[in-house]
Amino acid sequence: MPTPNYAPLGTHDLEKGMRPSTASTFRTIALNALMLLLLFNSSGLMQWTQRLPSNAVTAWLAERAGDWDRLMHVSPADAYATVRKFLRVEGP
Amino acid sequence: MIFPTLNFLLFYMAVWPTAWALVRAGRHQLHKLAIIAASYFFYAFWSWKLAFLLMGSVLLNWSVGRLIGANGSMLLRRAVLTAGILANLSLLGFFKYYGWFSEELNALLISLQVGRELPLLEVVLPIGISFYTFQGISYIVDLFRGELDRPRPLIDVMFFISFFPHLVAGPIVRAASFLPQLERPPNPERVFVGLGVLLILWGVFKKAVVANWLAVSLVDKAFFDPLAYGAIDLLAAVYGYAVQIYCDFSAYSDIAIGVAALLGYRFQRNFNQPYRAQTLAEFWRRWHMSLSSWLRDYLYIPLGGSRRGRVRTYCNLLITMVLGGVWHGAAWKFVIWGALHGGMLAVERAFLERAKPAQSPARPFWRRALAVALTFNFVCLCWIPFRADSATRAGELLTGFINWSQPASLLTPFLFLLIAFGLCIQFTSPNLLEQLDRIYHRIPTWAIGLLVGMVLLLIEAVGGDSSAPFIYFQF
Repeated sequence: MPTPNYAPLGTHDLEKGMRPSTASTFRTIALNALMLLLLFNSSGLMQWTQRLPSNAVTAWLAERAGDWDRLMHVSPADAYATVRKFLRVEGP
Repeated sequence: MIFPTLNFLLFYMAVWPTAWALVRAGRHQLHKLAIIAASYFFYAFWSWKLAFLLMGSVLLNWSVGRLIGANGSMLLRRAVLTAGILANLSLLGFFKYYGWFSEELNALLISLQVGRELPLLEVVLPIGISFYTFQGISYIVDLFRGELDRPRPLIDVMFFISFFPHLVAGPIVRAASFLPQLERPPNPERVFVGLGVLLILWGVFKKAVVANWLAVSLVDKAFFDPLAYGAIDLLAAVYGYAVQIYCDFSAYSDIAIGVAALLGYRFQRNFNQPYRAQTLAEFWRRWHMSLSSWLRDYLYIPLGGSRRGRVRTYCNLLITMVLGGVWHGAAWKFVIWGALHGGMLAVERAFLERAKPAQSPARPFWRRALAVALTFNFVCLCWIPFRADSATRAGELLTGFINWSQPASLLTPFLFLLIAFGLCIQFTSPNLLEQLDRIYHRIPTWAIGLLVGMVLLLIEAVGGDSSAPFIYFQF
């Protein structure tokens, strides 16, 4: 199989001294980060689904997000809510 | 759709694997088409009607590019280029400046007691028009100058102008630097993932924590009613705005550069610790670098730059900065802001030209510190008309600086720390990102993912519930 003719990495100033990796490493990073967000910030997901334009699909999504949030309140989201309350300074 | 939102996260989670899957499948053209489709979806999230205007701008510049590339006399090519630039500027002028122009002209006609009035139209400002128009001009000018060797196919021009990371608030990507990246597919084995992830996290932090807190709790309140506050709050608001606008705009640029890097595309840096500049000229080499270098290469140098004598140089600086100010919006406050910068650049240049022979190569620390403080305070002074809603508000704010009897009611220790933080990051090591990248490569990928998740949770916890929109969206 011939080697694909990829675009060369440039010499942009921001890239100097930086090491490239394979694109797939970002998949692992994104999935792990997303998992953590879903576990600890399930209320954020629920609020987002509630703000979607209302129709049958979004209503179903909101319901599922609500279920997920209730499930997470067994411990992870509660723990995060405590941290959040502790860090939140009076303001916006 | 804006960057640090769940909408964008989901959008990107769909675009990113699709784009790389097409590269791995050897379907480069389809990869480009998928990103173009995603970019138009991203843009149509605000208004699908205005996506046609974006497409019109792409078609205009692609056609002009083809005409410039066709063999013809220099005179003909120059005429085509001029027509292309005028068409771009007319588009920008109508959508961005018609309302302002007609209001001002009508006011003048009324004062002169002339009966005829220009019709007032409610012209919607298409988001990102200032950015994509300048990129279109960059394409045709680079082609004319030979910095691009040949006109590019429609798909490439469309990708270049509509690419979603830079579409609505920059950085203004240059055709000669970006279009060659489209000739071959990005390499999935060599992607600056560390750079992308670090820039995105840093950008989200600057926007969601620093810029939002300062905007909502300090700057907006003080600029809305300056008479209600004393000098301490007003001074804090001005310095706070300097930090807010830096953290807001550089955050957008950082996220844009990071998002593009994860797709295998590279943009130039847009900010480089601007408040550490020792002169105003240096500030402009560090602030919104993609705009200032655009103005330098496509306006200041064609006007004659510094090649036609001192007086002409000062005039060119003033013209460039006033037009740079007007680029930000249709209002006198931007003209004033541009004129202040242009005027000071001319004064600074004249002063430095005289001081040059006596200047030693290494200046003592106190002189450098003084130069930084003077430059920073001048920039802050200029931010007042830039941010204020009217000249009256700007005047009230300036006169409020003498009211030292009123105690601070807005400035809290937390906001003070945020301002201090925003200023301290101007003086960190220029290699900080490189050092962080080295640490990034020592940690296993799964752990990086968990760290990223934790940082995002912390940012969400510390950041406010209400968020201010990105400042540069309005431009």
